[in-house]
Amino acid sequence: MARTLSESQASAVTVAPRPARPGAWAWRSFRTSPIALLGGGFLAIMVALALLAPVLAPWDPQAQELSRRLLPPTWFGGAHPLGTDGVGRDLLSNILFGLRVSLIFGVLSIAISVVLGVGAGVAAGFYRGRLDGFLMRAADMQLSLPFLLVALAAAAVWGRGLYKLVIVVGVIGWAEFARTVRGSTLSVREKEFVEAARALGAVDRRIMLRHILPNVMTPVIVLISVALPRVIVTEATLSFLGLGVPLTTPSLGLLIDGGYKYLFSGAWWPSIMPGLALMFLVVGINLVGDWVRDVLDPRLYQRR
Amino acid sequence: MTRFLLNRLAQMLGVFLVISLVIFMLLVMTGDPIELLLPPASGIDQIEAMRRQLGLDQPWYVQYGKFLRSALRGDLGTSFYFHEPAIRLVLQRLPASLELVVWTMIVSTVVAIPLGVIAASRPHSWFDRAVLIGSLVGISAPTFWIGIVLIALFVVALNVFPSSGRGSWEHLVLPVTTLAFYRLALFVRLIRAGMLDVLSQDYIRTARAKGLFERMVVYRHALKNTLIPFVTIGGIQMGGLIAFAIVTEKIFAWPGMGRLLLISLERLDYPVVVAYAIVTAALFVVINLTVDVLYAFIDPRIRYE
Repeated sequence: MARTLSESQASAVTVAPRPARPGAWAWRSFRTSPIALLGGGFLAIMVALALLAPVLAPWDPQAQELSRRLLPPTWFGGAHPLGTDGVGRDLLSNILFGLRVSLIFGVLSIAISVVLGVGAGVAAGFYRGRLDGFLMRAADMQLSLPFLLVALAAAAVWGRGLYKLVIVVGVIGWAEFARTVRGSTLSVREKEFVEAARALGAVDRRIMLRHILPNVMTPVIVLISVALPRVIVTEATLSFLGLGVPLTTPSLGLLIDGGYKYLFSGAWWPSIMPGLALMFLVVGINLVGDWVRDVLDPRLYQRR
Repeated sequence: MTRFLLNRLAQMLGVFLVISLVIFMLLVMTGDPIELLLPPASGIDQIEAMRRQLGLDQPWYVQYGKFLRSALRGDLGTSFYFHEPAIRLVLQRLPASLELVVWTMIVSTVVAIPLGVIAASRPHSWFDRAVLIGSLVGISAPTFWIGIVLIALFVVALNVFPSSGRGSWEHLVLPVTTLAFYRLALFVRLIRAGMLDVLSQDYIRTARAKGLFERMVVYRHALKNTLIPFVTIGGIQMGGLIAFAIVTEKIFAWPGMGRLLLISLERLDYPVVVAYAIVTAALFVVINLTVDVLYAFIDPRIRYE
């Protein structure tokens, strides 16, 4: 099912014709694609806002001032441009720090997924046999359940904490990477250069790291572009459900959860604003991701 | 086909066992529900009596063995909190959750097919661009936030739909729209991409060359071949909907099994959580098998060994 899709993609990717200078070619395609430029600009702004949060934030995100509860946005000028939340915290400052948490969360947990998944995928595809059977059955089993549900179960059990959640979501993400990388490894390991390396006396580890790994990374990059937005939204969703990060962490999901009870008293900004920021971040990633898929997907590449 | 289905069922039984074991062990590791069940001033004797009564004084493997034996008889334990059979609690709330899932699938498919087809038959038109931008927003906006935006617009500002509860079709509108947002966007993208792919193939040119109406070419000849990958993704999305229904049920106070799960997780009500997991796993078996059968039905080239 899903496997046939990703495996066909994976094997197609490994036979892709490689441009002579991939870096220069990618940059040219980036510059000339309006979608990529728009998405790249969007993403750059959101990342800059997140990284510069400590400098840009006008207030301490945790500072509560009950006399300033639920102040409406003043937009340009005024002490609280985006207003304040139900306990009198500055919304703009919280959103900036929340974006930071979202980004850190996404990058770290994807890093864990990639390391585990690529490692398992290369090992399974290279050694095959029992290891392969075990790993792939485990991946199949996990992938037959939706990501959010597995993450929810794991988070409910391990408890709250930003880094605990990073690890949980990162570990859960291994399966997709492993399955795709295994597919590519199966075809790469039959190539002549692998045989040549072996004839020259290279040990298994060297073959896997130096010869197979660089040749299976293309589908991994495509998968990252799909997985990153999902992981970021998963953190926000779990935090919204009360199963994510602790209340003291400035997470966008927690902000939305905290603001949502004031909706009926007419204060829409504490819940709508953080969601808008989250959406802008994800739109940026998705636009860049669309471009990445266009560039790296060989079927589209050949059609052009 | 029969053998294939039997194989699939056996495989899924294995998934069942593993899921129940994993969830059971994780829950036993998590914590002790006793503190949450008894009044804070209870004495040691009371706590010990309660623990024995619930069987929590035994090691985890004895608890799991007992659980499995009664599970085979269809008994998944009694809720610590409601004092009712856990499986009954979950099954009572299943129809409400399925109502959301099924309506969401219907709405998003019925809306996505014409949008995707029209967009693909006029690439780069303003309609195509509008559909693409809309679908980008749809796949990027978090589901739970969409729900809140809809409440802000249609409940607080316009007051046209109820914000919570279940009963009439008006109650369905907002939760289903919330859930359908992402699927609709995804389906439109899939159908548009698939149609673009198919419409450039030779047999479509043949169909046009022999003078068929364009509508016939698009809807009869092209759309059919676009639907094959769509069935897979639709199945996966339907599974995902069961997870996202939890979020939607929280926002709209929908009396489904997702809300029951959240409450039970909070109260460490293990039997209900395990019953939820088993019922959900059963739903996935049904969905996956349906997708496999539909597959063979849509594409006669596919034969199962």
